[in-house]
Amino acid sequence: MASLERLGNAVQRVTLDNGLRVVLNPDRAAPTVAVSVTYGVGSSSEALGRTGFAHLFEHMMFQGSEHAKKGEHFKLISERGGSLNGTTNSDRTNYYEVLPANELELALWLEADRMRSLAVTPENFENQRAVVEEEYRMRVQNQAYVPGMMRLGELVFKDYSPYAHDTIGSMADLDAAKFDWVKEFHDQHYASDNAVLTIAGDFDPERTLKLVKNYFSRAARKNTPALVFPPMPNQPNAARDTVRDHNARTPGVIYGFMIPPARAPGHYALELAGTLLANGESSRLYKELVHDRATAESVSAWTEDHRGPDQFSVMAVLTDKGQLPEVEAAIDAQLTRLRNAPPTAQELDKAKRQLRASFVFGLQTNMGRAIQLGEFETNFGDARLLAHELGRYLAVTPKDVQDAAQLWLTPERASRVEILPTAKESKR
Amino acid sequence: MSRNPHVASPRFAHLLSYGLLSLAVLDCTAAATPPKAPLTVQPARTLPKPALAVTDPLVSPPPATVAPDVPFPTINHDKLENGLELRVVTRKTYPIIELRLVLFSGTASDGREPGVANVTDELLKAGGAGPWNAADLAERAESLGSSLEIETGRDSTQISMAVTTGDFDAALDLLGSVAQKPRFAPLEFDKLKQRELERVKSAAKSSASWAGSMVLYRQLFDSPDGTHPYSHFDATPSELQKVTLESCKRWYESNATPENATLIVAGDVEPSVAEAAAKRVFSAWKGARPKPPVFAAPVPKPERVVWLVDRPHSAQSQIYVAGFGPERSSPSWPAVAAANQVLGGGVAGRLFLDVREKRSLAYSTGSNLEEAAHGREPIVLSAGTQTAKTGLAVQALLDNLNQIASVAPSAPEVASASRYLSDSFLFRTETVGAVAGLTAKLAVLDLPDGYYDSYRHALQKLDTASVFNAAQTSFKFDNPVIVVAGDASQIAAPLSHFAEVRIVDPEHGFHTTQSLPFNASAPLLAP
Repeated sequence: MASLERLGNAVQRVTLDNGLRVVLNPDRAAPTVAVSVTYGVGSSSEALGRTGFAHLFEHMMFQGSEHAKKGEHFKLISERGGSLNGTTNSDRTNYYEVLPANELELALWLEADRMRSLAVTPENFENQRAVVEEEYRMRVQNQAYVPGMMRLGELVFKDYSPYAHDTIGSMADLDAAKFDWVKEFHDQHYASDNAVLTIAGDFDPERTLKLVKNYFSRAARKNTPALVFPPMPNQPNAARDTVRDHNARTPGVIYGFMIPPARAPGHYALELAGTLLANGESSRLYKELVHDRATAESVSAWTEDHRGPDQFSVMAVLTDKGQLPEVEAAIDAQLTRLRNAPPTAQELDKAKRQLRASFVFGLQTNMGRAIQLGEFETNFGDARLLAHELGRYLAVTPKDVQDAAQLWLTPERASRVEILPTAKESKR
Repeated sequence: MSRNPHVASPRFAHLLSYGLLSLAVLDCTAAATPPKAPLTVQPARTLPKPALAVTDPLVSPPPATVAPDVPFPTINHDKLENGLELRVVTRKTYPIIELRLVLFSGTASDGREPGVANVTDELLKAGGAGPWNAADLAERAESLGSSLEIETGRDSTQISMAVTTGDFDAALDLLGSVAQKPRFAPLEFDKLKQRELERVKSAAKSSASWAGSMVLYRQLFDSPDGTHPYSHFDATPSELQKVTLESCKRWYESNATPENATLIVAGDVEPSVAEAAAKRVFSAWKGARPKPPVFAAPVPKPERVVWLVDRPHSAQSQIYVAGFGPERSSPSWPAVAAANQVLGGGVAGRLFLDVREKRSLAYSTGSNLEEAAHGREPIVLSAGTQTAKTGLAVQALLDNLNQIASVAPSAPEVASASRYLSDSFLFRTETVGAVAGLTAKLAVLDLPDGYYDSYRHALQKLDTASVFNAAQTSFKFDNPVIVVAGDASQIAAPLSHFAEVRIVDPEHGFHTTQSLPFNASAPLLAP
């Protein structure tokens, strides 16, 4: 907990005149610095027929800007001993660099230049469209069970457009995309007033803030409309489907439930319910299905942590001897058990300790803190909330877990996808 | 081969977002060798003051400055009377301690029983240990907010736990029981063996990288009797079937001994505390160092062959092009690492900039200079590409391989590569887990404590000529091993452009099912 107190005491927030929110987290534990720019745009901002654009821009943002020519972002960061990446999910896109602390200014320069003058050109668009399609082949078409997971999201959110498609989008949409549409998407969402700049690590806050103002002040405000999520549907939205998967050797099944947004009442308890179900070899489903009955190769349970309505998922991949009806009956029984009785204090304490360790370990690196602080500022309006987050989990009681399961993890609310291997091909 | 089938809370794991770079690419950049940890921080030599915003501050990038020279943290050594070595690295940044027991035996010690080291290692935990059966052991570890992780590599087995400071003694007790008092419960062995069989059968069907690697290392480490210690990436189902409880016990008795082990403790702990705890837990452990395996030189390839691992309907092909660099102890290692960085280390490497960013042939591509304890080290170029363009991607990898071995890199390329490899140590040593891992690597590769500092300083002195010399020697593969995992019905013909194609079936023992003769005029683009 001492490390969290340190985090909470060392977060400063400033908003520039152009709307850019700046989060500073000085920490001299390591002579490095991480810079993250989080834009409040993800796949939930995409219109029907124009999916995949937020993720496409995650790639386009490395194709050069007015003063950093194509490829220079990669070269400059590498030659100064740094690392970089960008990620996209449904609610935000982030770009980050980690460097020796003395090179902080380089990261600020690169991020400011592309915030102000990204090279959104037809050539870059075509080039990166091809790379994204290669990523789709690798992450989706060549991965067992992933198409089934994507189908489950469509079922859970079928009447709720922000989350009814996966972040990587439809390749048909990407193939049909016009350059003007892509440029329009950029013009709408990539602006100083829709971004959070987070800096974590070994730096002087006063001097750094001067640098930030110097580099970023000329980035234009675009008055990007705030993301507004339609109310969560009241009616249960259960549906079932079957997906044939040529990469899968054995069947699998995934359950999906629409649940409240991240950080809403009940969400913390549901996350702990997921830990009780399938996180670790002593979890309920692992012990029963993987260890004792040997009917599942693996089990997992997770939440997506959306800003809007969220999804709670439970998944099992079967063994040779596993049968779908038997495995699904076991999952149903474990969900019923969650609803019918609170976990023991000892079991919940174990889950909290797992979560506590995950939390503390995740804050070790400057990059980890920069990303999470940026996400909290973007999604929840205040990066400092992160320092109090662990306390919210530790306050969950056994009855909270039961109450949340009774409310949200009910049979009527359960969408389900069964994944079946395709029949064995005859040898060619 | 460590596997965790569970998904932690995604709030903290960021598992579900898409990234610009795949982990494979990042791993390539990391693999060339990591650096130092920051205990004493020296200021940068120059830090320009911010310019006033009279003119546009974005016109040119800020000038490069010099990173602080931060030595790798001090490693405190001790040795118990039974031969167990102890290495302690104190870092009190966070209330975290990483425990890692390293056994200097891994899959290379399988002998004629591929899979026995991995199954034995897993059984140490899965079979129960000391006062705990399998379920109680998992319950106990997870009640500490941790888990017992066991990783079987080529040259070592590493049993590790990461805990918050207050749980250090409890975690060490668990680790001690697993290493010294495994129960080898027969019922648990049967269950574990079945899980392992399911795992490799699924990998054969679902994982292009697993299937490709199985063939790649078998071909790279080809030997007359087929038993080179590094020739098996993993066990096949039929090999696993032959592993017995008795063979696991034999492997354990021979290899899990204090003379064959080092305990590494890193993080929020004083050396004296760690040493007292290690003596309390491990003093009664007995056993001698095992006889090491024999590492004969692999047989050179007399001719080029393309090994095609058939994955019907695969949307993408996973390509490997590989050969041998120098031994890990070679004085030229820093120069070879820099050459590898120029070729395919990360986002500034030629493969990324050419194969991905220019030709749009791959999302993930790179070059990896591997690190094993014995013999010459594999250099593996890789790319994942759409089925129709597989031939073009293989050509692109070969073009870049030929280029690095025949034309001197530019001075900026060498400067960039050496500075990246040197300065990135600063962030690659931020966590106690990373420091523990690097300390373990020193032990496994038999490198001195000061190695990372001298390596980093050697990188800083490299020039174009030395890197080119290293590239000419290490990247000129007479007949590189080429392995492609993809849809044979679509890509066999284009691949015959490069050499004879031998098609193997990963779901049936990797037996060759068909071959196509070399056809230099075959078009590279699949119809």
